[in-house]
Amino acid sequence: MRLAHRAVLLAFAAPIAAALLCTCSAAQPPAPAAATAPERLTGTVTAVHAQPRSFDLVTAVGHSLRSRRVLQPAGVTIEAHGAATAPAALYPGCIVRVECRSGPTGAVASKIELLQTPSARP
Amino acid sequence: MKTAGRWLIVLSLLSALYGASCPPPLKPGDPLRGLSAAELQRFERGRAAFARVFTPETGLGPLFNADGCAECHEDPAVGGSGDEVEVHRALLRPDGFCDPLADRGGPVFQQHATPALQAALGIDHEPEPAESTARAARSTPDVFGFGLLEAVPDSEIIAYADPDDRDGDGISGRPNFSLDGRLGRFGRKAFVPTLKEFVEGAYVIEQGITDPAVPTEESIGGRPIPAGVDTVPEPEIGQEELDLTEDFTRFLAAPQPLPLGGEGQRGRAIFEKIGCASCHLPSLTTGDSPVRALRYQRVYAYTDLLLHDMGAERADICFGQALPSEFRTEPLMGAHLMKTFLHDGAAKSIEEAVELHGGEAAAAKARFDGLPKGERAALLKFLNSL
Repeated sequence: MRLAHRAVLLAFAAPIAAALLCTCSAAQPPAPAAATAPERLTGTVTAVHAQPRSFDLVTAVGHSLRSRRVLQPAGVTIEAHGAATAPAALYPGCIVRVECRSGPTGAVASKIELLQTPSARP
Repeated sequence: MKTAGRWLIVLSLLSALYGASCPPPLKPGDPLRGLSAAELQRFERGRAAFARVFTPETGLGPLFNADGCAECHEDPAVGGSGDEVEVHRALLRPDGFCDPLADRGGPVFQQHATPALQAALGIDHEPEPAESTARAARSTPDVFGFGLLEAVPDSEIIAYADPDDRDGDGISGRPNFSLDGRLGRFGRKAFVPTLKEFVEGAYVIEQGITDPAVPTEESIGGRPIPAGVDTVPEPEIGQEELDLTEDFTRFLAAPQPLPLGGEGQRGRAIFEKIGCASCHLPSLTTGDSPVRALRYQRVYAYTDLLLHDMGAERADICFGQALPSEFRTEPLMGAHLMKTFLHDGAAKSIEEAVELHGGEAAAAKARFDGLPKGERAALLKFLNSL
């Protein structure tokens, strides 16, 4: 009778012990991001050109890098913290976010935001 | 006698229960424990995507380093390390700006060309730009446990940084950042923020396979691909295949270390004592994750995912904010599976790898050199168990 009692206890304890020893779980994989338009690029400036006013922007997906010439039309200013800043604020090493569309000689910016200068890096 | 018999029954039942409820020890290439059935299914399908071999007819090239992920990541299982060594180049300008030579095809210069590209340009690898200031060799690491590394919060990595060595221990780890300013952690220079981006970029730079995230081919040393050389429409793989490959790498379990005997236990203490653990931080903890098996897990990766100065003798390219002599602390998890060591595969044993440490690690290396024979053996026993 005592042996039977132990067997019953063991039968109840077994699933609990199994659950404690090994846990399995369910989770959902992350959803893919949606594309946006117009094209928005965030990258590092590698060169700045005066005529025509433009800069070279390098973007990265992993170790795959792309260099783009971005034209800055007259009237499109460089913004930093929501305010217009001088063109000289842009130099190699700066991180910018650009909204642009494709043109015959490169991307044409409609908005340029200066996000970070090399000296402001952590 | 009767009591002993009962105990024997109970022990047998418990032993059977343990055996039935616990899976066997993890092998290299196994998935994380605790994945859902749906995640396990994606892992298996992802393994097939990772092992897929491409040809020029299915998009390979025109420049490439390998014809599939598993051509390099193969030892001792799919997702493991490989003996391939690839070439990276960069230009460190006099003003200190690191130019990754993206407009010249950099920073990765592919070592093979398809027959069509060879016929069109007479080259069998990508031309390397003369203006680069350094050339780097990069060995093929395994990617086991990388999903766990991805799940470590940025805040934890930043918390270990000590760029100005304020604590005065001679170790000054600092983070690297991608070109858009996000914290990096993958790659030998800690340049890539996420595993997802690493995979998306790797398809293109390693195999010449365009994907929805990178729908344009690499240039040929900065020049366009000659007409007719690659006629497969872009992207050459779809989103589902890309996602599956990402999930395979994300769900790969960390390698299980070998059992530690007494000597190995002593070695672990010596590892801490002589300062190896200052950079090769024994464990990191993951944060919240949509994947439960990656959520709030302790991962014994033996890295801080930060950049450290390894000395002038090991210096090669700059990358992002990483200086030529700075490298991300190489994770030591899975060390017992590795056949070469260090970012360039220059060391054929862990002992040799330790001897090639310099810069911030010079003091720890000097302490290693000064260890009595028994302690040195114990430390190597520990390292070779990871």
